[in-house]
Amino acid sequence: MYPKQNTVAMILAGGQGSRLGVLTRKIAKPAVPFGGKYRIIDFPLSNCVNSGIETVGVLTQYQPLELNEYIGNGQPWDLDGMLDGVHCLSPYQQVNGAFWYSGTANAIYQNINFIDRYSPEYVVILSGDHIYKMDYSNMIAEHQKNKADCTIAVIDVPLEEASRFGILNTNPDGSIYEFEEKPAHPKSTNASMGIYVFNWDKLKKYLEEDAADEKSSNDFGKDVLPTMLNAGERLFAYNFSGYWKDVGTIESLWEANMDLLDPHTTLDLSGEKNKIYSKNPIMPPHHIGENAKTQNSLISDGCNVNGSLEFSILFAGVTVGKGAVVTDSILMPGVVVEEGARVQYAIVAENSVIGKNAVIGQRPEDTQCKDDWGITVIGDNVKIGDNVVVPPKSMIDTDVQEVEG
Amino acid sequence: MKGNNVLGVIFANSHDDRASELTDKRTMSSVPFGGKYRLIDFTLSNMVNSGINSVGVIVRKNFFSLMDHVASGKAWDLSRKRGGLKILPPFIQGDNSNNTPIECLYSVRAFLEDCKEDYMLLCECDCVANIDYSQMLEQHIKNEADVTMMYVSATIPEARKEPMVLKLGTDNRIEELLISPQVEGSCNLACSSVLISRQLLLDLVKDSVSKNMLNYKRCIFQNNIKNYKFYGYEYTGYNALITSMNSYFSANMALMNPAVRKELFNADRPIYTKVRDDMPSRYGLGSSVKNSLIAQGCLIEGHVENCVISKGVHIGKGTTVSNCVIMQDTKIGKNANLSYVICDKDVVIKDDRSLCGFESYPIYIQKQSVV
Repeated sequence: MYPKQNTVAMILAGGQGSRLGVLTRKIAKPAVPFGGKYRIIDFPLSNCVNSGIETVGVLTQYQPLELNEYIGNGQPWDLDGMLDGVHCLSPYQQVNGAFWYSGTANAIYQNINFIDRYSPEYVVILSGDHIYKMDYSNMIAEHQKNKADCTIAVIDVPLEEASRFGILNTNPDGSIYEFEEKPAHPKSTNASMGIYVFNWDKLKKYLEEDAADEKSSNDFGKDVLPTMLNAGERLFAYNFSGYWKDVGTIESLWEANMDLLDPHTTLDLSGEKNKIYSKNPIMPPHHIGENAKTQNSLISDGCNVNGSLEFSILFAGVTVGKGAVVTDSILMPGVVVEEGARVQYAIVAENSVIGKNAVIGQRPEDTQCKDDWGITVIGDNVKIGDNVVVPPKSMIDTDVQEVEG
Repeated sequence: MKGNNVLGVIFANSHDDRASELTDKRTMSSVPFGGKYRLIDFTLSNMVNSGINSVGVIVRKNFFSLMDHVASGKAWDLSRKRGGLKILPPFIQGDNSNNTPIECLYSVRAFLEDCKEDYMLLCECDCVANIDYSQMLEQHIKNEADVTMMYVSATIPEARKEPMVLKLGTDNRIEELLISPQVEGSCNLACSSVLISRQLLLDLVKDSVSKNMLNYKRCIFQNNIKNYKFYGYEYTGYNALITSMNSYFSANMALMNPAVRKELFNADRPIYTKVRDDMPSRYGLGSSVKNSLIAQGCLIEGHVENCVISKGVHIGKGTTVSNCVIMQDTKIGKNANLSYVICDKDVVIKDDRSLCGFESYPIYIQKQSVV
């Protein structure tokens, strides 16, 4: 017998994240490293425990190996309870066939049995690709107060950016009267954050109806929510005002990392309160060498820094050689930047090696044609040979032979 | 290699008096070291990495910080159904005062009798090293030894209490064991790890207690050299014996040497410790850091040189910290100046303070002090 849970959280973590290119070649987007020691999924998982939600399903589909292994039994997040805790839920074979998760709503539909074991009042649907800190219990309290059937978290975005988001138009009492998916002329700036609280009995009913509808694309935003609105259910918006960023693109991933270096950032990861938990590498403290320079940077355990760093983020076990210069860049776990190399405006994925005197990326002010500029990305386990110059905006996923200096 | 028929036993309070400032409120085994570790991390990790998965930690007093640190033993993979980590607090019956290791072992004899392992590895926490005990065990079995004592070839540290020096025969058999001898130069110094058959140790302990002969080094080891097969096992890797505040300070400073770090934090035999989920350390604009070992969760805005900086330390703008060991969550304000200082946990150093020790006499600032 499973203990009844007031709330069960379901994290959608099955997306490929194709816009992240080589970074999600072998791993799902929620497993992408972030902020010097975290992975993106640490944020929703930690938010859940910090909000008192201790039953969490993680819906995986694309390249789940690393993500499943990372989450493991949930111990780093205290989600390793005897009967509750975190569970990775992959698509499975059923009596009438085997089905992939065909959409966000379908992924939940296929796991109705999982949620029903805990007979919860509320189900929170979360995305595995957003960086933010949020106490979901406040949102649930407002959901209860409004006697809502569904509450959707919204964030105020600048009007010029509003057409990139799903926009919710609300009445003065916060109830929603209209959805607009990426509108050309947005009526409001309330962008959906992809965080939903549902009454479980209502959601279950609509999921079953949605699954029976052959024309549906089985998506929350496109199908389930509009159907509920049209049926006259009580849908409310919940205004969130902290830091929130969708890190679905190389630019936004880079920016969200750089936001951590801003001393006035609204995303505070320091201190004891509402900590973001993660699986910690087993490495000694980092060492800063005799000739190193470290300006406005984040550095994790196990790093050896002998070069110069500016506005950069070093994950665990990174080595920066003598005379190497790393600026405005993100170096993921185990990266080696050899002597004299220069890395600027770049993301270098796990265990890649940048050879001596190689130059990766370029500063925007040094670029002739601004359209050709962008963040340079080096995939995981790639060796960039000595003296190689990798231009801005390129994405490298195979070894590059060294050239004569 | 898991489950190798060896029971690990750690004396958590041995050598407490060697660095009494640091052990005022904790055991020697829970003294912070190297920015993120406690001394017991080295002993526990060495045992686990050598295949030992059953460990008893004998504690006598001041062991709250130790229990908080090791908890269930999860961080060392010692939270297990079979074996695992047990804290063995004093079990005092009758006159047993629990002052000596013999009495400690006697008081936990029920635990030792219940264990299934044939061998016991007795360790103290005063030796910072990355030791593979499986080689020592191999030699012990090959020699059909009753006792194998680990030694290093070194001069006796001045502050070491009752050092044991081994006189070895050609086959490494111990012919003589001297306690606090007068020796010039290098000798075979026993260093805190002894492999012994479990039954023999229990017999010797019970025998000693019955005769009220409670001197551990003399009654268990020295007096029995001729009665049993005692062998020496030389450890040749990096080691730092913590025998005083000065040696504690220099052992921390030795971590600046890349060769020492490479050997001590060998990636194939990692040193495990309790994790705290700190964010990566942040270096502010205008900070400058040279030759320092820095843990996570720090905010460095000043100048740091030749320091070991622990978790969650803040160093304010304009402050210079050089040749210091700063323990976790210490906050140092602006425009302060610290040189040769050992700051214990949770110390607050306010703005504009100036504290200077000397290499041979680092100043110690007590836990939770405000300067």
